[in-house]
Amino acid sequence: MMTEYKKPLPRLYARYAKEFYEGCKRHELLIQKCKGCGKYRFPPQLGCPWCGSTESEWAKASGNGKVFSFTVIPHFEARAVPMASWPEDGYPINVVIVELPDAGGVHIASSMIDCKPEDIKVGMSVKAVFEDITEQMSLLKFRPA
Amino acid sequence: MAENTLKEKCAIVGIGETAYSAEPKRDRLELALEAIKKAVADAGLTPQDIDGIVRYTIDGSANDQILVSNLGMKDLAFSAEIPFYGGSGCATVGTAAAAVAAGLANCVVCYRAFTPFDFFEFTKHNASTIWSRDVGVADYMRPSGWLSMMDTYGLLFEAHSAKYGTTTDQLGAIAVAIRNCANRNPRALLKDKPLTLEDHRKSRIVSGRLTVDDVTLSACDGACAVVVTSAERAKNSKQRPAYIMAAASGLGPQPSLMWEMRIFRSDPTESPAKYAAQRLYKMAGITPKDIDVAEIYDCATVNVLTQIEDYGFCQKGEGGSFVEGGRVELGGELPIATSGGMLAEAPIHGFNHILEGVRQVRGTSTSQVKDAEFALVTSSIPTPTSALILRRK
Repeated sequence: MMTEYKKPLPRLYARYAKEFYEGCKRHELLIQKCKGCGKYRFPPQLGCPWCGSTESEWAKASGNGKVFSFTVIPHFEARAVPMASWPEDGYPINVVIVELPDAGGVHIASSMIDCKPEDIKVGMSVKAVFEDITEQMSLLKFRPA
Repeated sequence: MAENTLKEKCAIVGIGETAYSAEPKRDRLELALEAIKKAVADAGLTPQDIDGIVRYTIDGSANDQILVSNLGMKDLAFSAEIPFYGGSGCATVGTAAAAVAAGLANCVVCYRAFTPFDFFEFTKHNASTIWSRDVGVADYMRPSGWLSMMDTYGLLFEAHSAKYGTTTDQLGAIAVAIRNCANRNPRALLKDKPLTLEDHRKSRIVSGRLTVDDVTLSACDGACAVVVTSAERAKNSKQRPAYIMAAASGLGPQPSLMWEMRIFRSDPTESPAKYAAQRLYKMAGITPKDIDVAEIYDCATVNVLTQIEDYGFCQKGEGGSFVEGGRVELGGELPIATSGGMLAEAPIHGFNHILEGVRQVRGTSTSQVKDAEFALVTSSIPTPTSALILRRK
């Protein structure tokens, strides 16, 4: 029995979020690919932003990536317009944007694990891993390659 | 063939604002009514002269009919809401001007009433929020710990710094210049809190390398309003008119990826401002060199720097060196956010910037640029954005 997960779970509001996270559950990184023009896109959506085609397929990305940008949130910051909730023991948060060269160079957001915040560098090579956070949900994370 | 343009067909003839308060929690409708009534009075008009309302998105103050009723207006000939998040401000004025120029209305009020303390209540059923849900903010960002706009700004700075070498001291130059303006403004929330570059270096981090002095104020309520009418009617107005020389909006490249999702673009260091800027200068028929003062939307110092580049004041990537050496201070080449902006006056989502642009044209700013003729006003990035050029004639 897993301990209760206190961080925000994906809400599956967005179209195709369900399919994306079903892929994560199988430990697969699925990136949407347009059948009209072949371009990859993230986040997944109905129409291709380049050619407008609504025909698409899922491609399995290797999970190899490069850090495009990052930000480390060191602690809780009270704001009058509240931020999403996050457990107190969950800081610092290592947010990364990873570029996936074998999926058209799309950018994806995630968090970095097995890495000290001060060691995160733009351009460093990373590898996708999947964390089974609840019985229904697995989250994409990245670790240094 | 007559040119189809909005250029100088309209002017802002009245401005109004409430006091800005960090103490909760004033009534939302009262805030809106107060700012609107002040703007109308400043224009030398009464609510019965107003026949149009343009509203700023994510606003829980009132809907149009409630305002008409509570203001004692006669009727509503024109009504619109601009769903660009923080990018809405200048577009409200541009839209009002378009309505007046097209003969749909005579005198249009544009306003923003903000109460952060019940902000989320009004995001739930809003056009802007529908985008948030559909594009996957809750699915692809929050779960990884990306909790707020502050983190978007942190990510944007790292990307800009990695590409161009931009430093935190350069951000500090922006924060200090804007704080200096706030220190001269008795209405500003941080009027009594000076900031030096040394202070900025020691400020508390909120996300990445951005400090609390690099991001907008948050705990504050208040409201701002302006009255837009035709250039013809403006000739007889009580105050010196601020002619709307140009108005423009834009989404920018890869438009499906905007606001917080903009960091997913291949090059997020380029903002929607660049697209709005092209339209803006073309309508105005002037260049960045003609701009005397820039009321740049300052939700974060990195966004000010990006806009300085994208509105053409320097080459892309050189925003950091541009803001050094006092260039953006009063007396420098391009004074910015001269009432203290979102960083230090009040977080009225760029509407206070519109009011300050008008003051600069009138000559009544607390950080007045000598002989200011052309004032740039911008709304936020990385949202869909909008901008104005106001002119003294």
